[in-house]
Amino acid sequence: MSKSPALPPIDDELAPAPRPRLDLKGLKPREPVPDDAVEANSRVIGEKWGASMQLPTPEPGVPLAPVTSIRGYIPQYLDDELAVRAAERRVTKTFLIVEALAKAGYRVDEHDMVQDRRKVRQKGKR
Amino acid sequence: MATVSIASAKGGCGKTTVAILLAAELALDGYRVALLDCDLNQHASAFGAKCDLPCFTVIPHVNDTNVLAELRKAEADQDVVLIDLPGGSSTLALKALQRSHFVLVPTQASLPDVRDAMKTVAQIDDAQDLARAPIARAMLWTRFLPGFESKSARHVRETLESQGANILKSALMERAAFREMHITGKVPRQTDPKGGAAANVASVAVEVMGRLKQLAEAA
Repeated sequence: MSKSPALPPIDDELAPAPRPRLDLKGLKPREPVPDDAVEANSRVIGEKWGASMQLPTPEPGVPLAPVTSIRGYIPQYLDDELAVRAAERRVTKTFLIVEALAKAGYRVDEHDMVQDRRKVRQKGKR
Repeated sequence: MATVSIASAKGGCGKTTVAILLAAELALDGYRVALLDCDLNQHASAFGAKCDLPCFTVIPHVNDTNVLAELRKAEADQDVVLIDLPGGSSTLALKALQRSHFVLVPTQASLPDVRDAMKTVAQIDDAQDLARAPIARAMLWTRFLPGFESKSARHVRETLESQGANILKSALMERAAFREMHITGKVPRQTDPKGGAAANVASVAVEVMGRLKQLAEAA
């Protein structure tokens, strides 16, 4: 008895049908929002989450007041607490002290409340 | 036109792998796809230089300064724009999130990964509040070991799922083919279209496209 011939491959016929193409025309690009607004939002959220930023520090509208240096002694535990809080908020210890003085009624103009003067200096803005 | 970000604060969770596989899958389906490589490591760009895929473009060196402009350019002539974001929290990622229709958050079933993925989800919430527009999102289990799930992985996965987190049903498995594509420049669908790795990618892509379909219908 003769052997029946081998059947032809049917792989191609069993291949799954191509996926239907999705019409994405209904999805328009996000509402045009000015880049400045997106950048400002990113800055706000970024500061909250401690995000790394490549965004340049914005130019303050009003020049910073001249600064002077003071030296003094405070309890070690107070310095420790300032260091921890400054790290948590990503500001300097100086900022925390100036902020506390402002809250206590000393004059500190709003535009002089700089979170980290080192960054302003490094960028050569002033 | 759909813009999809791949984001997680955690490094090593498979963002670039997901981005490449999804982009390539959609390109092979006939969509015009651009992949914006925002990661400093530029692994997606290296893949882009090697691969031979129709309708697939990788845009390298996307950073905080040029992301919005590059996104606009890509959106103008592509069907799908994928954004491979760097790990960590960055204003670059936050900008991209605000401009995305959908955000895919890959995560391994480990506590550090899930913790960082949840942080990313919270950042998406913040971004949508400030953008005043909803940003759809889903988490995606990645680097799942085929046929084996450790006790700790199951514990993390079941806990997150029991909390009703938005997670895709498909998971991206840990597969040699996903490592080899960086060497060969070919995705599993090109090297072994009937293999498990290709089927795995297809199932994730189908689910993501299903989510985009819902968004397109709701728009």
